[in-house]
Amino acid sequence: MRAAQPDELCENAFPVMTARMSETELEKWFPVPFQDITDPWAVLEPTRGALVKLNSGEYVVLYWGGDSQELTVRIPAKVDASEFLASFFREVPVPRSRVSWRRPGTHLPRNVAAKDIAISSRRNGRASVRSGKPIQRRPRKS
Amino acid sequence: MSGETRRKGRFGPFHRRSEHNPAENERIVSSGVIWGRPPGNFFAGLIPCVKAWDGPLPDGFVGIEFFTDIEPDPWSVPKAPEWSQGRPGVIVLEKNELVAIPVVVTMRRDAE
Repeated sequence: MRAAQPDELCENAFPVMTARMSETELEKWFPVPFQDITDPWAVLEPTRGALVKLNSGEYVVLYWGGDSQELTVRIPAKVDASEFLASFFREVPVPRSRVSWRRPGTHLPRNVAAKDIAISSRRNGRASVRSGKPIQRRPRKS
Repeated sequence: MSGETRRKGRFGPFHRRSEHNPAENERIVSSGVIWGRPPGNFFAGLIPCVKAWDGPLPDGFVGIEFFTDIEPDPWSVPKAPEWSQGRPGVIVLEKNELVAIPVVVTMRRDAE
């Protein structure tokens, strides 16, 4: 993805999904400059906004609320929402469990990770789910 | 007509939190409208809209609770309804810059 110039999108954008994430995760998953918006008539809470172009070519408008710690993703009306979500999740590793709302009638792609996966740095270390039971490896057949 | 005797609007309750803008409660109550500007200027397609949180004003939050006769945008995120320029009933005060909706304030909580 890359940051897009303001004149690259000249039409309104409509919400397609929201997801909970920290500011650190926002900056890790969307390595683009954000505009800080604090005008209370412009936003509900202190907000960071950005216009991004995905590698697949779609434009996406991002708003992240500092109080709610929630990202709202908006796309132009002519974009197919389910196809967009497939492209979005190919590039952005937001776990499925973080999605708090999506536009009715849209589908999340099957390849979205269910939860946060933390991979151990130890050799032969086990992968574990941050907020759940450890992933059990199947015993090798002898 | 006082707030107690006016009928509520058809849509609501909604609320706005004003911890970050303590003067807003008085402006909304005295005018009976809530204003909205475009959310930033980082792309050219932005249009002004009024924003609110869905539901009653939560305990402990500074802000106002309101109803309105103006239907929220059908595409809004349910917990954060919006009223955009061009939608029926949304008042355009300055095209592409400032809009407003009439509201009936049913509760107000100021900062102590």
